[in-house]
Amino acid sequence: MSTKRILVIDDEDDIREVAKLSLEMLGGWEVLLARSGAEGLATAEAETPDTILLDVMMPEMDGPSTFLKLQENPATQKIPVIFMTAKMQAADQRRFKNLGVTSVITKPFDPVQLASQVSAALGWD
Amino acid sequence: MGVATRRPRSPCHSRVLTRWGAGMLVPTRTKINIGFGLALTLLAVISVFTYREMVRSMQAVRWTERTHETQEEQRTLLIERAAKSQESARKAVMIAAVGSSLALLMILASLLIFSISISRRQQAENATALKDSASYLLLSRSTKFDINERKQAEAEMAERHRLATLVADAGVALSGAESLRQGLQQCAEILVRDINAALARIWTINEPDKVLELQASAGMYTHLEGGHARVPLGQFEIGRIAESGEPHLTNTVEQDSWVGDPEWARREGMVAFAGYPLRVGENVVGVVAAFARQPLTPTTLQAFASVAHNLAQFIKRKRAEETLRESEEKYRALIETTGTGYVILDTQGRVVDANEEYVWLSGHRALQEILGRRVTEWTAQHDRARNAEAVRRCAELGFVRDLEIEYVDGDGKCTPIEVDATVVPAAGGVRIVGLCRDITERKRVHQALQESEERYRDLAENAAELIQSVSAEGRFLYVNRAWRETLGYSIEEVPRLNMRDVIAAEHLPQCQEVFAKVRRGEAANDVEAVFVAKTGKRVAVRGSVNCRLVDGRHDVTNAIFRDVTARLEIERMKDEFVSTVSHELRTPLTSIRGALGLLTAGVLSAEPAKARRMLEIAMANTDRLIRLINDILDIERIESGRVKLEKRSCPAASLMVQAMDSVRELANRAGVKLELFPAYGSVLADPDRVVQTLTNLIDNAIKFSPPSSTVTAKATPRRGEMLFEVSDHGRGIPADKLGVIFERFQQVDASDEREKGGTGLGLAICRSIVDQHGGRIWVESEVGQGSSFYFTLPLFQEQVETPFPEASPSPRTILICDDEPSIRDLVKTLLERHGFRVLGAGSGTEAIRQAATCQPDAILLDLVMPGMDGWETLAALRDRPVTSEIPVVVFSVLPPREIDGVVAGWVQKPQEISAAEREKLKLGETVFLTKGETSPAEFEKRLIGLLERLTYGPAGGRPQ
Repeated sequence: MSTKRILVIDDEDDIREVAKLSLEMLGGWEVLLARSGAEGLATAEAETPDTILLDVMMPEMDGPSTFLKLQENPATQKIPVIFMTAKMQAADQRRFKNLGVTSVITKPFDPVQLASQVSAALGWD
Repeated sequence: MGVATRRPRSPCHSRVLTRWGAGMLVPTRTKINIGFGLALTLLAVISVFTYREMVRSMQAVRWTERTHETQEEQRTLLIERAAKSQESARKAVMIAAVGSSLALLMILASLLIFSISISRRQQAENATALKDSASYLLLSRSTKFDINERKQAEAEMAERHRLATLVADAGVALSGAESLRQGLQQCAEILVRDINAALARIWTINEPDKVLELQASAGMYTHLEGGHARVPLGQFEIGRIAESGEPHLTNTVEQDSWVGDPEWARREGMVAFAGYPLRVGENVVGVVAAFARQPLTPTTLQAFASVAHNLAQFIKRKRAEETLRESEEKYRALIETTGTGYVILDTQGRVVDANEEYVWLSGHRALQEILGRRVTEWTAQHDRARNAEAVRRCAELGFVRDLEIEYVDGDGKCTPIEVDATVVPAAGGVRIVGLCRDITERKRVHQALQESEERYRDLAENAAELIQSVSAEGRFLYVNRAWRETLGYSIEEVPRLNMRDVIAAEHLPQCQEVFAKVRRGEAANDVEAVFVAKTGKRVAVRGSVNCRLVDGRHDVTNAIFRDVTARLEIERMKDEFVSTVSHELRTPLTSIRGALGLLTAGVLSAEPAKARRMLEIAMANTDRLIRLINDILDIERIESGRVKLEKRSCPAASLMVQAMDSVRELANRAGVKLELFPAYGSVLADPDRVVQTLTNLIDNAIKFSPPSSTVTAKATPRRGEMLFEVSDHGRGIPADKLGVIFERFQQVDASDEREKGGTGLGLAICRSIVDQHGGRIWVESEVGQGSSFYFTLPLFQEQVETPFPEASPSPRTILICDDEPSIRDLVKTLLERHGFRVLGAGSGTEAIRQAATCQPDAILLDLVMPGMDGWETLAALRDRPVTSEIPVVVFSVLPPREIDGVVAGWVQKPQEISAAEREKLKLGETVFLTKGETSPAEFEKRLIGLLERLTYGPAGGRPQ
């Protein structure tokens, strides 16, 4: 896999840390972190990562709202976004996909498979 | 067949003559006699007058002749006088002539009056009159002919008389006949007798069958059977007469082609035949015919024709009577079998006639019992005036409809009656015809229907569901109370509403589809819709809709809905809760799973620092998960009522001290000072749950307090409740969060959960506990200034009545001062089992403050404590006037030492102490208990015994 830059936006410190470690160690990617939607928007615009792993349930600006903001911004609208969510209901999954996100990864995720899931969703070899 | 013999004159005939001779026609005779008398008198007067004038003339002539020779001069005078006499005589003769003429005219006038009188008599009398007239004519004429002529005239008169008798007798017979057949038979017999017929028969036409039916036969045949019993129209001479409507007369029977059986006629010597159609206007109703062995004269035929005319009228009348009678019988039969009471009243309401049903309805057995009585007599008392008014109104207006009244019988049993009455004309005025129906059954059915309707209406009205009936046009015909209350419309407003007024606009198309579906006869269950109440509030409903079809057309749409607004809201909240809990559970699990996953995969084998960090993450999140699960289970158990609160009297101070003790370590780590201001008084509560609440609040306060700040716990009794307050000087809570801070998973800052280790359920649990105790909980806060959480609990009743119970020896309060919480808990449990109230203090300082505030009955004091130790504490207690008298029991592993009589007793912890230490303990009653030699039971016994002696001693329970 080629080196990619991936932004993880999650309000949970531990999850960010685990995801970062997993993606770095197993994906070999550069991982950027943001602890809120607002911070994620700024980082995305500034760093233009190859993809964004975006948590759905966050205080203040949740995942869908952040995604819509990303879509509104020409600088970030082409960045593929993968939702990470603890919501397991099919209706929620459908709703998220209808928004136009690339994929949805459910929590808890397998840290060993996380990088592979992201690569598969994005078509990265 | 025999020859008919002439019968003697009928009694009727004799009776007529007798009448004549007896002057039965006196008025007419009197007129005649008066006429003759007047004429004769007039003639006599005229004669006397004429005679006198003639005598005078003659005397004048004779006197003139005697004096003619003597007096020539007087001759002229005499001649003049003679001329005058002659003139008088001439006048007399003229007067006589005129008088005679007048007399003759009077005679003629008398005859004319007589004739008119006769013509006006009724038919029977007419016959008599004819006979009288005939006799008169006979008599009058007989004076005008000579003997031969007289004999011939007498014969003619006899013939006329006989025929007049025929007509008269036939008239009498027909007028007196009770039946058609009787009248016809009598007529036939009269024909035989009065025209000397050999056979006379009368048929009537059966119009539907087109046949003549023999009704009467007299003379040589009297039977009504045989070949001529039923003669089709056009058959035989009889049938032809009936068909043609023309009479047939012959005096040459043998040569007559109409006669069907000439041989019979010849054998029987029949000469004449007369047959007349019996006509009423253009209609032939029958035929009368006769055979005679002698020719029938024109006069006879004329009389026969007259009889035929009377027969036709008779048949017509009798048939009309029969039709009327049959109609009456049918009508009567109908009335008697309809089951309807039929009554005829006069205008005063008196019964004139009634059928059997009415008699029974009136409570009687026979018509005679009610005839002539007023209907109000058997009308129930409460309806009498109304019924009388109805009779009056009917007589006045001509009808009464649907009058409902009650009749009452002799036993007092009431029968509801419905009356329709109409006025009909009757002889001498009018009658009221009433049709009365027993409506008992109808009333019962109506009553049952009404009760059923009321029952169902009650059911509908009291149903919790929203019930509605809507017309085909969408208008509301009925809605129940729940519907009206839910949507806020009054019963008066409902009829003006249309479905479009209450269905949310976005649900209209869906509802229209449902309507179309039920109109097709399909069921529509689990229909969901949203109504809009009058206030604009949206009401979610779910239910079933059906349609009532009348003659295949949509009539009414009925629906029953449940208001599922609250349920949907609960479902939404539940979904949200599940979603939130799912998220809250998965979040630490994600960290745990991720960290452990990386470790297990060996990814971090070469990175021990990172591996250790992953383990820390896993551990921390495991703790977090445990807390979360505990809190979730806890709140669910409390809110579902599965946790049974064990309420009892709990000293508020004790509860607060326990809570303080549990968070002291946390406060120490955070550098936050704790202040406790307990109140004297007990609350009725589950102590564990109240301590949990206080601990949560104090724990939160510590977490959000900056270092060196103070967290204060305070209790204040007021108006039957204890007010607890936990205040901090932290960052405060924004106003928009104050309303939701006690909701689940609601935190001022999402990062708090991570940073402060909360689960987001602490305050929700506090609220649930307080709610379960019947108290209230709230928060007052100002951002940047800090927060104060309050909650109330009901005071224990005894404490409410006696807020300052120092005078009472019970309950006794023991303050335990020990820095070791487990020891405090152990001793606390032990003392509470013996009815003591126990306060705890984790330090000497706190013990001094609590002792001053709560004035315990005794203080159980540990010696070895961080900070201010037991000795220092003891000294401080004795230095302060408010605490100097409180007995203190030293409770320590340390040996007692000499202290000037301020220590009431000495109890060692069940631990081993050295002999040297024991030696030092000489104060008061000293009990040495050695670890390994002293059982917990022995320890308890010693401690309780000592405290009881201390607290139940004289002078307020304190040892002197």
